[in-house]
Amino acid sequence: MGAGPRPNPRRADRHGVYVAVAIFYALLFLAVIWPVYPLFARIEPRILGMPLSMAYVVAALLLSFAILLGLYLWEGAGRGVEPDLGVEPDVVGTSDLVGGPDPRGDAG
Amino acid sequence: MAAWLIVFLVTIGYLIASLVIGLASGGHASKSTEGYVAGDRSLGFLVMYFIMGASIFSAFAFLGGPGWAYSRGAAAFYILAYATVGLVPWYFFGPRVAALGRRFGYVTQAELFAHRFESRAIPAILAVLSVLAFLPYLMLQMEGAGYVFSVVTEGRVPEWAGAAIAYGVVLIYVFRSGVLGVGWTNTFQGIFMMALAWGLGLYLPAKLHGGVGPMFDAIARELPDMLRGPGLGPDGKPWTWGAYSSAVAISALGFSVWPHYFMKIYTARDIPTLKKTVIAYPTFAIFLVPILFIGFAGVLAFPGVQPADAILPTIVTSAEVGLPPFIVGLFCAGALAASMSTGDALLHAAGSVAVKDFWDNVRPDTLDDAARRRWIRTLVVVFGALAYLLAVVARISLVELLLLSYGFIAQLFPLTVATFMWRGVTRAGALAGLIAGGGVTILLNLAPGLAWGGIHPGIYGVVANVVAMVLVSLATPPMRPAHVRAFVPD
Repeated sequence: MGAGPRPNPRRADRHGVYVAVAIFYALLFLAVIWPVYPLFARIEPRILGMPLSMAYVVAALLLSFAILLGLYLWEGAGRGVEPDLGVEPDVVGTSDLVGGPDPRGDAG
Repeated sequence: MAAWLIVFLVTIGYLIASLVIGLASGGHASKSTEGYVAGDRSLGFLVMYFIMGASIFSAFAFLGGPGWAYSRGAAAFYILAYATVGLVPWYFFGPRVAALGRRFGYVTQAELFAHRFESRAIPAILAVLSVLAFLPYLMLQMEGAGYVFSVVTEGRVPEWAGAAIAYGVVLIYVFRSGVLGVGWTNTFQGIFMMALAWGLGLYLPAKLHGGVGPMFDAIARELPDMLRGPGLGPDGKPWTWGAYSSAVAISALGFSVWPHYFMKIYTARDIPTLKKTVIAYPTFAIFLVPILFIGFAGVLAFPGVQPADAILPTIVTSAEVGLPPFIVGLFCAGALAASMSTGDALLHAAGSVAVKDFWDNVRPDTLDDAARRRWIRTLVVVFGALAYLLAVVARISLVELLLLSYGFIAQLFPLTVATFMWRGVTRAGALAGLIAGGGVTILLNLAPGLAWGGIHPGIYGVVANVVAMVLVSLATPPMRPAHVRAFVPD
């Protein structure tokens, strides 16, 4: 964790991908509410028997699945790396911090 | 044998199976609070998937989903819409939550905020809000269970007895097995519900209309407004886009931070397991599609069913459809599974939160680990009994309370985002945000005329929350960088 090596030297590039995915999901959210969804909230054309208003939302659901799966595959070996907490294991006592302020600390 | 008796026996068989699975699954956990609440952080993908899937398949989705499609048409698509993004935030902050939990021993959501903001007040407030938000939700699940029993046995098993039987089983396995009981019964119940949803969802439109396409053809001819977004409002007139959009938004904002699901992040065995659960989540939400088909199948074939939530049991038990009693029994069991798989997580979380987040902060260091586990179990029973009395005996109306629940829970979303993304947020800022957000939500619930455009009061609450949090945080000194570093990466 704290002492471990940085998982990837190209951190800036990787960061950009996460930002892009986050923006994609913000847009996907906007796509299923006003003002974008009303453009597709009609009956025709019908897809697999469903009205467009329903098929559109189902498609958004499948797209959500596909993009996140793509991100996971892209992460490769890095996907299982625990986030670096920046805390040395023996600097902070575990039990002191659970459920409240650090009793030795500067908070009250 | 009488048809209702076959239905009843199939249902009882399902309940016994749930009980056996729930009791058998608890043996692996350690006899500690961490074992009872977080399953020793050992859950694999399959169980995680079904625990989160159960969040979609509540009694609301199983009875309310078809009810919405039946009476309000396209308005019901909001349930699908929020599932597109609902769990995605977990992919981004989930791994850090899990790592912090493992490092510092958290098992609840509020412990994270307590540590981040070095505050005992914040978790205590969150605990009270969480339990208040859980109760109406739990009551709804119990009413659903009682209702299903009553309808399919033609009133021979009254609602109070049906709810008592189903939740008696839930209490036993949650008490005995904790989160592992919740997880493994949800897996069994989830597989059951999936099979039933697709089976009935494709069979009923075929039987009543000759297929899904012809069914929508007929509705498009007779009642086209039903299929155009945003569907119909509760009064049967076209709904507003403000109300539809804010229903999606409030559900999506709240979804990733409901305390009883958030704390399941700590149960994941490792980070890939957690990420896979988030990725796979929409595949579970797809199972709402056939559930909505069932409601649409009733629109022209069974006009005038009141209340609309009765449409699914009405179709399933109708002579016109002519399902064999054994299948009706499976349906009844599936509806109970939907209710129980949501209710068990709520009960388990309510007990855990009340002890870990409220008591441990109001009276620190008064409980050892064994006492803590004993108190959580006791409170699971107390909250179960309380919800039962309020729901089934006092029969309190839930619509208003549920609205308030979602409004409260959504206030946790800005706090969660700030916790992991903004180094500058302070304890005073976090508190100010929660108070402003909660206050505005309550105010607009009391005076709905002030909420412009039919927009959900919780959305106004979130806006007030963000403004108050940012302004107060900027006006107060930042927290120690060395402390904040664990939460907000460089």
